[in-house]
Amino acid sequence: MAVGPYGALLESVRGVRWPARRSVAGGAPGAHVARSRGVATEFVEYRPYRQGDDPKRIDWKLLARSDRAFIRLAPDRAVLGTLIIVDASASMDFPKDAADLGVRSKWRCAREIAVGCVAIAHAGADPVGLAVIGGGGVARLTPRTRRGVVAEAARTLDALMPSGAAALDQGFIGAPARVLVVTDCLGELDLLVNMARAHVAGGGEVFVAHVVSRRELDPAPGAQLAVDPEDVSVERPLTDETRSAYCDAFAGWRRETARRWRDAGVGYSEICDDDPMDVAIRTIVAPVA
Amino acid sequence: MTFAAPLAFGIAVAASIATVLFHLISTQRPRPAVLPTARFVPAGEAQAISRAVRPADLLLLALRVLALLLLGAAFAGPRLASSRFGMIRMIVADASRAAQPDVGDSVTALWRAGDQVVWFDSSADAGVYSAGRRTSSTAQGRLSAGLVRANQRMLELSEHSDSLELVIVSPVLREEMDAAVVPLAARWVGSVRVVRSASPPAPLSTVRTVVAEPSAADSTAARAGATVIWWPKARDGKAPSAHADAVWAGDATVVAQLARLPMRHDGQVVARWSDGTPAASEQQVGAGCVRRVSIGIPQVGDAQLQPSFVALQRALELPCGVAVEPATDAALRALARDWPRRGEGAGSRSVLPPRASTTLWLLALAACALVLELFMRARAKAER
Repeated sequence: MAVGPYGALLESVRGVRWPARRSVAGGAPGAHVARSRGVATEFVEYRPYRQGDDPKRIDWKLLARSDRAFIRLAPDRAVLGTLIIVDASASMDFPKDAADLGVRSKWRCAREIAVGCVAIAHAGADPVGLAVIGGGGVARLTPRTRRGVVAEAARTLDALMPSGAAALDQGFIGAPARVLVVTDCLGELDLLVNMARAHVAGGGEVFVAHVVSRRELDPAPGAQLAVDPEDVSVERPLTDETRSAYCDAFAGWRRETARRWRDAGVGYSEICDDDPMDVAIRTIVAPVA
Repeated sequence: MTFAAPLAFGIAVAASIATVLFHLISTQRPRPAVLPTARFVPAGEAQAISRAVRPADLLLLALRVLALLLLGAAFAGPRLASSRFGMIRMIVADASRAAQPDVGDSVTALWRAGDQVVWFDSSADAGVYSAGRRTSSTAQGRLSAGLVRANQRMLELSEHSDSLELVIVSPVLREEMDAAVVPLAARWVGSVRVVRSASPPAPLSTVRTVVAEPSAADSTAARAGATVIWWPKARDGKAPSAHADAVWAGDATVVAQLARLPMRHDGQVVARWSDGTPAASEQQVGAGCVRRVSIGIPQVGDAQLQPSFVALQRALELPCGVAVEPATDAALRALARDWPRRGEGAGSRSVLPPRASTTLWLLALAACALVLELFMRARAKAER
């Protein structure tokens, strides 16, 4: 499997599971507990026999003791289709000179999260796909379980560069039950939250990995004219006098954003670009307590 | 270079430093930098106050600092430093009738290269001379005349020295003092010292007053040293009519109905009418003198009893020669005073007026710098 620079990361997340947050709809056998009952050897409960049930599932010993026909029920397990939506808007390419600075950019951070989660879902036998949405359009990988999907996702991500503005809500169209959105939430957030809320209401699961940069949390000292890469008309003087106001506003916005995501039933995680990525990925896929 | 008001130049220096600091804290458009979260920066002018290591607009800064320093220097009153750090003496020496030969000796002893000597007798004879002896005149001395001349030379001398000293060499008689002496001495910027020379010998005390033209006997007495005062009496019908007039002699002044008696005056005038014509004169005769008085004493009224007339009469009846009445010690103390040398203590600040031309030049240069700064500022603004 040609995973290039993601080898160490994939090795560190080997064995990590990404369980469904609740019972999934029945389907192809998989690792997640399904809402339907199956015929496995693991006993769950009895149910009175109804016409049409397979007579082979009748518990004959119970029938002999109680003279009533019951059938044995066992838990069913199914796969959970997963889609990783990656924000490839211009704001993700920050810092632009990350390589020179020896730090991880938001885009690199998003790529590693996406590849790691693809690998984890793939290891759980779930069909996993990818939708990279940027100013240049949408690059999609249909969810599937075949080998090589991780490498294919890595190649897709590496081939793209963030640009323009991303309409991430498009990724929810035809999305499978589980969706992970890797974004900095600086796009059309209202529309995205509404789409996520609708997806959750429809029985799906939505996770959001909110990627922030350390340089956004603590901008470089000195006066600078802050320019929004997605809207060059936004030019604001960031000085020592306005720095604290900026930090307060940004922190307040992050708190509000997290609250909105969680209120919509979304598993929300804030990932800083200098966090260890394996730890960040475990945080994203950790079951809700 | 020194300043008459160093505080003004200090303020200008402080303002210049503040200007440099303001140039370090300049409001400029800061460098643009991509920040995806720029929307959270408070909206404001796309200009920010930035601190620079090097001052911005060096030419403008130089012009502003130059203008400030020039203005400060102009208001501070600059004076070029002298070529030598020393003291120059202005010797005011008495050359009047009261002066004795020891005045010249004292001047010779005091004089050094660069010193100036003012010989005085009366106001008409005041002048600046180089060192050396000078023959005493027969005129009554006026110390104020010498001080006026010394003060006129003070500014010129101050540009070549660091301190000045005024030395008055005179017997300092009371007749040489007047009301202007102390104020004139107070105007001198420097120390004032009085070297009192020997007083002239007291005159003979024989006084003979005659109403008719002096006779041979009177002339003989005058040659022997007596003072013959010829003071005719005004006779009705022959003397001119009296009218309101004024006359002064010495310190006495009389304003009354007086008659001007016809008389020819020779020698030194000792009393004058209000229009300047002589009212009494004194002519040396041998060891004594003959004094002619042409003041008609009114026969009517009590003018003769007035204190001013009594004083006038006393002044006119003094013996010939100098009235040897030395000035009081209090008057001498009022003249003499110390003056700290420049740069030797807080009280050494010079009050010499600066040269007006220097101040004008500095103000003109400052104005030029300000006009140039205005032009450069407008051009810099247009370029932005």
